[in-house]
Amino acid sequence: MTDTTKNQSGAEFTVSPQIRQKYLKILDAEIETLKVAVLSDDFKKMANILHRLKGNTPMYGFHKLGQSCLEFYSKKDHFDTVDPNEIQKLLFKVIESYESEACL
Amino acid sequence: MIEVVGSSKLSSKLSSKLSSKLTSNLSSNLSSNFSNEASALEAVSHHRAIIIDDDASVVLLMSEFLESNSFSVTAYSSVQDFKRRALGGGDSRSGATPDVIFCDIKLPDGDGIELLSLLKEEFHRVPVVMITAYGNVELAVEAIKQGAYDFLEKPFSPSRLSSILESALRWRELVNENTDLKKHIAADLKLGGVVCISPAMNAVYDLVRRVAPTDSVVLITGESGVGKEQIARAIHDNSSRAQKPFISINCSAIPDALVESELFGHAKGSFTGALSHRKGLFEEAEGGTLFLDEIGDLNVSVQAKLLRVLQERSIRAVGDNKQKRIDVRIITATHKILQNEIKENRFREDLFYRLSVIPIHIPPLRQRPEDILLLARHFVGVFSTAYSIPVKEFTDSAKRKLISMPWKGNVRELHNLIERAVVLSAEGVIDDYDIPESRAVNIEESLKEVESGLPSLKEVEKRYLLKVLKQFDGKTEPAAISLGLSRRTLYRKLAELSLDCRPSSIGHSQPQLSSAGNVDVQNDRYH
Repeated sequence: MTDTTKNQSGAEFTVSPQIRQKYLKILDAEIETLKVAVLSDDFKKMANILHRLKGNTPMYGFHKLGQSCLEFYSKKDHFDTVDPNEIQKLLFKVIESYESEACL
Repeated sequence: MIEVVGSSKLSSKLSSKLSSKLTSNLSSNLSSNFSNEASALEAVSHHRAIIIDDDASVVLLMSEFLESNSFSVTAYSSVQDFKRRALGGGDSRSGATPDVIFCDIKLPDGDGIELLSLLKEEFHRVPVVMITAYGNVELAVEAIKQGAYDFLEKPFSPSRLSSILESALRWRELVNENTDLKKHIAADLKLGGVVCISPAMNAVYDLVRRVAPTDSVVLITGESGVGKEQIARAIHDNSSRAQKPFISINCSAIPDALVESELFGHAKGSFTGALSHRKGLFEEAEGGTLFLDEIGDLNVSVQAKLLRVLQERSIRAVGDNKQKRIDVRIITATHKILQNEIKENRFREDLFYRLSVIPIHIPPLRQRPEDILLLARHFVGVFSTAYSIPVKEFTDSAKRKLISMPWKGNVRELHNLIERAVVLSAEGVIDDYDIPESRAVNIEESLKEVESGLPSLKEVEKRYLLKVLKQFDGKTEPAAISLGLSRRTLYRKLAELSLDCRPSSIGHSQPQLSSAGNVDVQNDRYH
């Protein structure tokens, strides 16, 4: 079984279940690191991880997660001034997208 | 499209090892964990790729894709990692040249664009594809200006990766092919960019090889644009005169009144405006070679003087009384058929014999179709380098069109057309619509032209039957005996060839058709 979705340019994009499974392990670790970075207000690390995730997740078919990461990443220049609750909300959205797409 | 799905057992095993390590430490060195497997894989791999990227998920996806396409992959996670293992000898396969390199523009310890110059230095002729985040096109363009082959924008699809990979490998193949060809030719003969593979051109090269070391006068003939000057230069470059001047002059481009002065020079005051002594081209070429292009256009009075120079090996400047000895090899060229010019009294016969000691004829491009694509690719390489444009490939229809064109302007026309196509074609390929429609002709027409000198078998048969019938005054019985045929067979052949064997028709040299289009056996008076 393969997971076929569309990438940003609209082209058909197919990855094997095996490679998706491998990527999920990487993604798990990335999300965990993001949580730790948010909890410790490590804005630089947050920006780095979100930058990676927004670019990579669509390549593996995680489009909703990609959008959530992009939304979160767009605040990167104001992480220090944005309301912490807003940051939490953005993080929850990322986690929610991840869980909904990863369980498919 | 090549998809990631269906990777080989080897690559699955490799990826499995890769992923287990990645999960434990994302920023760890990716390649060190599968170097053993990669070595084993290399034995069955056709190509080698290097990925320099700290992003594990990009490396995972690309490795999987590349390995499923018979690549062995070595990944490096930073500039330092690359320098230490690839250049410092830490990697057991550091000596092997990769076929393609993928390098992230942003690396944790440095700038991918800065690394690019090192990559270009270390791996000549290896295409480097920069990986960039979405929206970083300016950086990617900068990278291309710095010598990157292309860029891959994240997120990317396998089809995009596949297309870049195919194009990069084709570019590398072309560059290698070009270098090998040049080496091969240069080892034997310096041809200054002339690269052809047709038997006809190989015969020309063979003649150049044999004639170059001598001082024989050479007459190069061929249509305009076939490369007569390049052959003249090749003769010079491969002679003992190579270090001396090669002077080229187009005789048709100089006004008649000035030709003599240009060739032989003039003394001070020899005519109005001759304010000082001026060396002619013969003197300028002293010790070297003088190439007189379009010799067929030289005016007759100067032809006499040239003949004298060839006989006496000395010149006399205009307005000067002294003869001066010269040591110059003379090579001439013309697109005209000089024998016709002699008949028309426009060219001296004695000069023709002096000039054509070694005649070299360069066949037109349309008669050597095997050279067309080779030259076209050579010119694509030349213009891609000159204009810093990624090498473009020809589509199949473009190739067919190129081969079917009449090439009236020969290699020069091809050269100019490819320059335009390289510059103006919008995509990464040169398609048939990038080649002007009006210049193309049907391939059969080209072939007919090549073979125009040879009559068809049917034509020969017709002529022969007519000749025999004429010999026997149209009598079919003795004609059939002479031909070794039965009369019935002869009639059938006459009918097949639509021949009329009446005496009035047989008397003509060309076969005639009867009004019905074939022979009327019942009314044949010789039946």
